[in-house]
Amino acid sequence: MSAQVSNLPQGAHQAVTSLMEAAKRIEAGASTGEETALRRKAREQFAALGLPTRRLEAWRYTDLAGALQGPLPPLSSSGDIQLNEPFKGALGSLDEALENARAQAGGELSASIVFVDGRFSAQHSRLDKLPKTVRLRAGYVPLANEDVGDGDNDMLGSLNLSLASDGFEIIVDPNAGAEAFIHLFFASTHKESCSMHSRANVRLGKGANLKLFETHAGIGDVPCLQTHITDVTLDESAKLEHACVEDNGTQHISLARLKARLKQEAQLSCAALGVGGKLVRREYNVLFEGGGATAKLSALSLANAGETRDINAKLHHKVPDCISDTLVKSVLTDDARGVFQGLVRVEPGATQSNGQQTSKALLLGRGASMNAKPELEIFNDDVECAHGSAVGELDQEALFYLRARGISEGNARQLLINAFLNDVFERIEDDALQLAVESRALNWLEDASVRAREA
Amino acid sequence: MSPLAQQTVDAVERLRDERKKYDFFTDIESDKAPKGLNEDIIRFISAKKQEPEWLLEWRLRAYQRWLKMSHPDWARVAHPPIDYQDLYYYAAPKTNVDRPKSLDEVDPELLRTYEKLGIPLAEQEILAGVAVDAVFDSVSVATTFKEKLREVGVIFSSFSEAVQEHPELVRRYLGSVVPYSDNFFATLNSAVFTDGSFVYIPEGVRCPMELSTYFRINEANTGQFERTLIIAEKDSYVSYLEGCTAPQRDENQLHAAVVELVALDDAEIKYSTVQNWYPGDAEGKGGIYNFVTKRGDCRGDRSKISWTQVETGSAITWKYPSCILRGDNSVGEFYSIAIANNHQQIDSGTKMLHLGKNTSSRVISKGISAGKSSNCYRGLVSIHPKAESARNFTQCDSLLIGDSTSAHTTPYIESKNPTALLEHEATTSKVSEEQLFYCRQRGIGEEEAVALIVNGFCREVLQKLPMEFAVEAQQLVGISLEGSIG
Repeated sequence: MSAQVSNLPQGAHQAVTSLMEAAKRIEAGASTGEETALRRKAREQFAALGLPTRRLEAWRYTDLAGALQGPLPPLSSSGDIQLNEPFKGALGSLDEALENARAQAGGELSASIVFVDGRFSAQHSRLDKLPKTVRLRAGYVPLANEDVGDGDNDMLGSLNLSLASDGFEIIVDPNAGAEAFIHLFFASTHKESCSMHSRANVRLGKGANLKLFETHAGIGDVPCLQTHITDVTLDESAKLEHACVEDNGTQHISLARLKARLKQEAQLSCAALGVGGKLVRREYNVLFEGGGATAKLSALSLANAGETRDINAKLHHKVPDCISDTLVKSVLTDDARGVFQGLVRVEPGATQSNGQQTSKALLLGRGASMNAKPELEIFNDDVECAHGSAVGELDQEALFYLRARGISEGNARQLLINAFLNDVFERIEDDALQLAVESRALNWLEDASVRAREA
Repeated sequence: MSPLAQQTVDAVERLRDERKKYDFFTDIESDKAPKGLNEDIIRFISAKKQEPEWLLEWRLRAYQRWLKMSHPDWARVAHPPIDYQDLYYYAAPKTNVDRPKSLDEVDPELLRTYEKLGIPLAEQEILAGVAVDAVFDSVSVATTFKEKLREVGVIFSSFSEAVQEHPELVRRYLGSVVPYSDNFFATLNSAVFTDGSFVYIPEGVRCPMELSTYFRINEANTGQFERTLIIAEKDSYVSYLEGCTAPQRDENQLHAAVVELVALDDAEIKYSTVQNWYPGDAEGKGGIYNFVTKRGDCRGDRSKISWTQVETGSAITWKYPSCILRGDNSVGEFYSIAIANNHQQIDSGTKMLHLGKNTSSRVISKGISAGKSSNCYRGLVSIHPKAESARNFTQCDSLLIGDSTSAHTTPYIESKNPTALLEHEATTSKVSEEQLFYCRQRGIGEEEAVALIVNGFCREVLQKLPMEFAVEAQQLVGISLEGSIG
């Protein structure tokens, strides 16, 4: 075990120790020699890297070690358990949350893949309407060597690879899948501190289309560490629309990464709503490998007392004529923390690149804080890149304007915040996905704006 | 040709000659300490300068601290490791032993050097309204206009002189903005600084002229460790100009200066820099390594510190003039033009630390990259929890010329107060074909056209420079980009 581990706070030390022990067990139980080797490599890498400290640029604003408060053994239970646990808000139970999410996705849903406490649940999943052009392997762990690097930020990759217990793979045939709309549901029902680690592969053939709607729902206030890595490959002219709502329990730490390789003319559109959980960190790692590809990333970070939202977006323009556009909006109440770290890197040959980054944050609480670092690395002169960032509170004049017209303060605030968030919703092309993200965000807003008024 | 274009063409032509003018050495015997860095060298420097005991101790504390520090590696600059034992830490023109009482006593060779540099040491200074404290290889040789300044109570002297004549002021403020433990280069400077400038503006005084120092590096392998300290008492104002040139050199030279500014209640300090040290040749050989720590402390309420810089020289520039906005209603400004051509590397920006209520800051940075250079803006805007209603506006624009250059922007935006309002904008663009075509169509040569366009790109910052500098800077913008097209 690395020397760094011994310098950690007790809670983090216990967490790392429990994760390392579990990794050894999983390694010993690997089914093939290849898997054993890969798991071991990942485990050793994680041991060498240790938990990221704030000295690492990628973790400069998020103290992961400080957030880990004790052992987090991975769960080994089956995913086929009842989902009648009470869920927050208007929904009675996780069951209802699942049904609600499915309903939001609408009648055209072709499959719904459910993971309970990190394990695939055949019982809750519905895979019967999947078109033949879409090949799905659920309950399968796609292991990939490339996650074991030694870069600043490879802790997540090596930790996930050494511990991943479940996952899925979706392969969409070329020129197919116009009708493919898959729902992913990650439920956390655990009663004790634990961790869960999953991986996914998503490959779209030439000209293929896919819509992915990912929801995370958790209950209670039990500490949990969840890691999830999605590896996306979009062939020529393929199009993936991905929307994600993370609505976890109050002590839930979620570290997610979406890596995407885009071939010629491919289109990636991602929207993420982080609304529940102690820490929601989402990394996007987009590599443009074919000319004319487009990536549109949108994130909404909504956080209350004691919560952190961290968006980390890397857009790597390696070839000419690609467009990347990132928009991150944060609404932070109480002492919530928001983080955005963005990087647009344009390689020497990547002419005619267009990279835009925008981060805007509304601070609604006395102790709320926002840290933004929109970075540009440009290695040729034929580019159009820009970033903008703004941090502040609600415009007092706008508020006064509305109040002067007889609108109550709470409503006026809500109206303004709603307007602030609106352009994120509008970026989500698919109506069902847009509605799903929007309704959850507005639902949060109703609670939060009331609290902000009281403060 | 339009008058404006003609003006730019003339400027470039003129500067082409001037650049040649700068390629010379002055052969003056210098009084050197042996190469290397150890406590004895520091004691030697301190003894040479007849410094009081406390200052020597301060230097030694810094040295001990420095030994434990490591070279920072976060900046986007690459260079071979610097051998700190292979540098001279003290070199003074010999004439320093008997300080000249008037200009007549100054080594004529030295005077000729200044003449070539265009430093107005003679009568025309009155017309120019500039008092010059010229630093030649680390020791201040001549200071003019002292009398006139003394009339209003302004102290403008070399740092060593200030240590002798105003030890209480130096002791009170030295290291109060940039502590000796601040960073690798500032700590090194604290241990071995040889000279610099000292300015004290008493309460209620508006300094009657713009104060100016010309730095010039001449001796091969001599690290330049300047220390500047400017104190503006309550309700005072001073504008300080710093400009530099360096002769052609084959070996890399290290420069690690520290500038500390203190502005008390209602005081204002305007600090302008034109830096055109030798950047190395077109192949990237030679050139100055410039690792500078500049920081201003708006200690008083309603105080203001404004940094304006035009950075065109040096092989490596590592420089982040910063403002600590401590006093309520204090204001910090940073206006910068950074031009990198050939193999130059620039990692520069600013830090605006908002601590007090109603503090505001404005950052305008214009980076131009050409040739094979690398130009990085690195800035921090930090709003502390007590900085009620703080405001910041940041704009950093990059202009790229050519396809082998690079421009980077690394802004850190941190807010811990909901009443604060921060705005940040950055763009990256190139000199557009359309603009060039327009100019070319009107008979303007390609290089001149680029100079014209770039001058337009930098206009907002150029306008912030004092008159004396604005003309020089405009010319520099043109000359720095020579050879970047075609």
